[in-house]
Amino acid sequence: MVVLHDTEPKSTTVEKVVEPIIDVGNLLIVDRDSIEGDVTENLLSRARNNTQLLFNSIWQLEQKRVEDAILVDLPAPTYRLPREKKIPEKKEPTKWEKYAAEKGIKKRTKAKKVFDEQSKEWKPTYGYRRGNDDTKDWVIEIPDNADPNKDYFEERVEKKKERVAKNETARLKNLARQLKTTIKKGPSTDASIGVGVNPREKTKQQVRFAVDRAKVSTASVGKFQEGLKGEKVNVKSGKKRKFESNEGPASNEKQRSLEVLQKLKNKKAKIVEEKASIAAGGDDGEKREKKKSGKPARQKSEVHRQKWFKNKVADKKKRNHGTVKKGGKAKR
Amino acid sequence: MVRVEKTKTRKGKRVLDDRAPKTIENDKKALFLKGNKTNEIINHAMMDLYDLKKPLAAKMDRHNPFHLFEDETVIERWGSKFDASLFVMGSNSKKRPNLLTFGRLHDGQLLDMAELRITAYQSASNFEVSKMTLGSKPCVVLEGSEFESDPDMKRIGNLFVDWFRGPTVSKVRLEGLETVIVFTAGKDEVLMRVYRTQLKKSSTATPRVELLEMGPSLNFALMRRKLADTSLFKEACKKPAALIAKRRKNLSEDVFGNQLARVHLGKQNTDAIQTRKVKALRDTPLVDDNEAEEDHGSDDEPMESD
Repeated sequence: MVVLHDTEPKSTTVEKVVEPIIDVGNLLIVDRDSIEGDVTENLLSRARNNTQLLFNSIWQLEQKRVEDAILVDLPAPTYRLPREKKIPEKKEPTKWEKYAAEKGIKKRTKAKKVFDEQSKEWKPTYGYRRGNDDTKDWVIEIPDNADPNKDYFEERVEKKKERVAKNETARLKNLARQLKTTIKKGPSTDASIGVGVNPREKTKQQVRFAVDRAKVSTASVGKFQEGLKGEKVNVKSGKKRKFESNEGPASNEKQRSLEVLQKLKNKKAKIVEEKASIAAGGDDGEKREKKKSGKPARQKSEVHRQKWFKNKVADKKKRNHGTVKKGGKAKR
Repeated sequence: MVRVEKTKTRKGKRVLDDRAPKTIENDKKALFLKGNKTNEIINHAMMDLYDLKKPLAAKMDRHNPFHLFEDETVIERWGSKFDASLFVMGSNSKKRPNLLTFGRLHDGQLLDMAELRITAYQSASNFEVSKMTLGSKPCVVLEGSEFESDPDMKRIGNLFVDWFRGPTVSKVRLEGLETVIVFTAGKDEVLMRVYRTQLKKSSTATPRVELLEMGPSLNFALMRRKLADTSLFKEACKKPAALIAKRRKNLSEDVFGNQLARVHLGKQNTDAIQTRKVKALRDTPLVDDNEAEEDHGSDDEPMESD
C-alpha cells in the first residue's frame, strides 16, 4: 500500500493568496502574490504552479476532437494591449457607391474566362491574350451612311483614352471628397499672397537661401553641420561689422572725420539743387511736358526686370504643360 | 490617413492594403536591431529571442549607430519601413554594457521603450531540451507583485506580454501548449525563464504540469526607460467600436446560465385567429331570408353578427 501511495497521481490544485489574473485568450497568467525572500529562488516551482493554474482554466473549456488532436476554442483576450495602428476611419463612399446603394445595384463578378468567338477558345476576360479583343482587329466594317475617310482605328483608341481619363478624374474627385478638399486647378495660389512658395516654383537662389538658413538653425548655429559632397558654402553669410581699434595715432582719426565731412558736403549740394528747381517750376518746362505726354524713359534695370518676368512666365507655362493637357482631355 | 498615391502593380496594392490600419489587426512583427557595437552575449541572446519569436520577426544583421534614448525617430522610420511595431536593439559599450532595449510603436510613433542590462545569461543551447515549435503560441506568466504595484513595472510587464504572446489564435491544440515564458519581477530587475511543459497523469481530468527549462535564461537589470503617459497609452488601447459587442436590453441570465428576456409581441389580430372548429361557430352560407327565419329565429341574429 505504501508503494502505491508513491506512484499515485499527483494533485493539480494550487493555493494562492491573491486571485491571479488569468487571460485564457492570450494564454496569460498574472500572478499577484508577493514573492517572499530571494526572487531568484524557487523559480521553477513558482512557474510550475502558475502554469498549472493556467492549464486548469484551459482544460475547463469545451474540447473538440479533430483528427486525433484535441482542440479548445479560446475566448476573446481580456488583457488590454495597445493597438499597432490607429483605428481605421470610416471611408466616405464614392459617388458610384452612393448611387449603387440608392438604386440597389449589387456588384457582379465577371467570369475569369470568356469564350472567344473567332478562335473558338476560352480565353482570359482581361489582360494579355484576352478574348474578344477589339484592339486586335485588322479590319473594321464602316457603318452605313458613315464617313468612309475617317480613321476608325484611331477613333477606337481615342475613345479608350477618353474613358481612362474620365475614370482618373472621377477617382481624383472621389479622393478629394474623402480628404474633404477640392482639386486645385492651375498653379498654387499661395505664392501670390505670399504664404510660402511651392518648392517646385522656387528659384535656385531661393532654394539656396532656404538651405543656408536651415543649416544655421541648430543649437550650435550650424557649426557642426556637415555639407554635402560638392556643396557650396553659405553664399550669403552675413558680413561682420568691423571696428577700428581704440588705440592708435590721433592723426588717423582726424583724417577719417574729414573724409566723412567731405562726403556729406559733396552729396548735399547735388540733391538740393535738383529738388529746388522742380519746386520752383523753373525753366525746365520742356522736360516736364515730355514726361507728362509719353512714358517715362526706360532705365536699363527696368528692361532687365521685364525680360526676366517674361522668361519666368514662359517657363511656368512650359512646366504646367502636362497638367493642362490632362485637364483638357478630361473635359472632352 | 487616406492613401493618395496609386500603386502601379496589383501586388503593391495588396502590400499597402496589408499595412493599412484595420479593425482586426495583423500580428505585430518584431524588429531585431544591433547598435553600434555588440558582444557575444548580446548576439547570442538576440539569436535566442529571435528563435522564440520567429515567423513574426525581422532580423537586421548590420550594426547601426543608433542611440534610441537620444533620437527615437530612427526606430520609427525602420518600423514603418518593415511594418514592424515591436523592436529590440542590442548594444554593448563601456559605459552601458550588455544592453537590450525592448520597445513598441503605436501608429508609427514610439510608445514604450525599456532598456535592460543583461546581468546573467545562459543560452538556449546550454539546455538539452527540444526547442519551441516554429510559430506555436507560448504561454506567458508574469509573477511578482511589482508587476501590479509599480506603474513603470506594470507597463514593462505589459510590454513583455505584447512582445512574447505570439500569434493571435482562436483555437489551440492542447498538446501544442508546450512553451511557457515566465517573467519574474524583483526590485529593479526582471528574470526571464523559458520552460517546456510535460503533461503528467493526475487525480483529476486536468493533467499535472511539470516544467523543464528550455532556455534562454536571462536576468535583466532595469536601466533607462521611456514610457508613454497614461492618456496616450489609453488612447492606444482603445477598441474599435465595431468590435465592442452591443448589450441587448431586457436580457438577463439566471444562475443556471439560462437566458431570460421579455418578448413583446404586439397586438394580436383576433379577427383572423384560428380557434377550435366547432360546428356551431361556423359561418353559415348566406341563405334566403325566409329560410333563415325558420332555422334560428330572431334572437340568434345578433350573436351571429358578433
